[in-house]
Amino acid sequence: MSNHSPKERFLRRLRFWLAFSFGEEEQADIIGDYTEWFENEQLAGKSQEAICAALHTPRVVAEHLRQEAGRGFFQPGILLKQAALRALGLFFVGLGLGGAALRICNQSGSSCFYPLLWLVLLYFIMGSALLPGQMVPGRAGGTLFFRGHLLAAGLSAGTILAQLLLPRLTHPQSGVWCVLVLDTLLLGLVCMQVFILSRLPAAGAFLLSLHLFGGMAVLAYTHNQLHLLYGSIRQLVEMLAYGSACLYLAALLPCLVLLFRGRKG
Amino acid sequence: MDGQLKRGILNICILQLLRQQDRYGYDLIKQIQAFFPDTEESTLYTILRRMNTDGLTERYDSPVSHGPQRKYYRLTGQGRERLQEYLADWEQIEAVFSQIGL
Repeated sequence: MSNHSPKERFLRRLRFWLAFSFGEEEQADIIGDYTEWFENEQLAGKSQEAICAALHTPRVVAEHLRQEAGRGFFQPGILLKQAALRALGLFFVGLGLGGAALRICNQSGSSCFYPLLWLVLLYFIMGSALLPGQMVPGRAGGTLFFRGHLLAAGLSAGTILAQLLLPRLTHPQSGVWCVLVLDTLLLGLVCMQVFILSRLPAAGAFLLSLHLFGGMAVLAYTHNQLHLLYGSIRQLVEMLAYGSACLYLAALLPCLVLLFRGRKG
Repeated sequence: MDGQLKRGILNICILQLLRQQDRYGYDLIKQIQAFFPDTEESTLYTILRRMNTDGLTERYDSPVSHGPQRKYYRLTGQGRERLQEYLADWEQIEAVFSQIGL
């Protein structure tokens, strides 16, 4: 149950839809305009509900603003530049903490549950700083799910990459707890994707295909860890695992290019 | 009314209202909507932002003792020149209209 006022809800949703077509400065400007609109209409004696009812929905308002500004709906330069910064931040945080998680698993065996729990918590706190709430539509619950989804994906990718890039940390016996934590996170990830897609049908198809592929591949890799322990169909799973790592690494390159171009622009 | 034509007229109205006195966005939009009731606030806010980007207006925060903080728009020299150009265009249009019997 959301406890946001109608005004807050409207502005929050508007900011979400604006993020597809406007840069951060323009978004702040537009949000400032609509904040002013609400305040003055309230001074004129209207309730927040009445003001919202007189305006179009946030999605339609954003659509009008987009058309008036002569923009396309999906402005890859703007959207990806914002996403690229956060993705890079999550990548490095995930890589560092993923590596630490593996080290803990290697050194302390099955007694690594609490250290891992602390690492996950630390990751969520650091990751939350990289994911501002206004990126997310809808209710407070939506924010939680959305953040959780991105954080789980980042942590999973970071852990896998840590295993590949920091081979000293890996060990055939490592990671039973790590695998369980990752699999739990990935299960949550799939549930959250379904939730997000129900809120975001327009952007959904692309995100679904990319994330499900990445998620499945990462899941396969974590199972590979189990197969290392049990010694069966290792090669097939390993192939999938390396494919997954390549996918995430490939995603890193456009992030860097976009960041570089963004600085120049 | 055709969107392009209407936008041109809205530009002239906004610049003229700002020539009379500095105004904040909400006030300006309400004044325009009194003449053109079907005009969306999103259209007018976009025009205001574009005018600001183009240097026709400049914004400043009002020193308010109570009530909401307001962003006022002030016409710049460039804005005045643009308004004169619009009005000259308009006179030309009127001359053409009268010549063809409108």
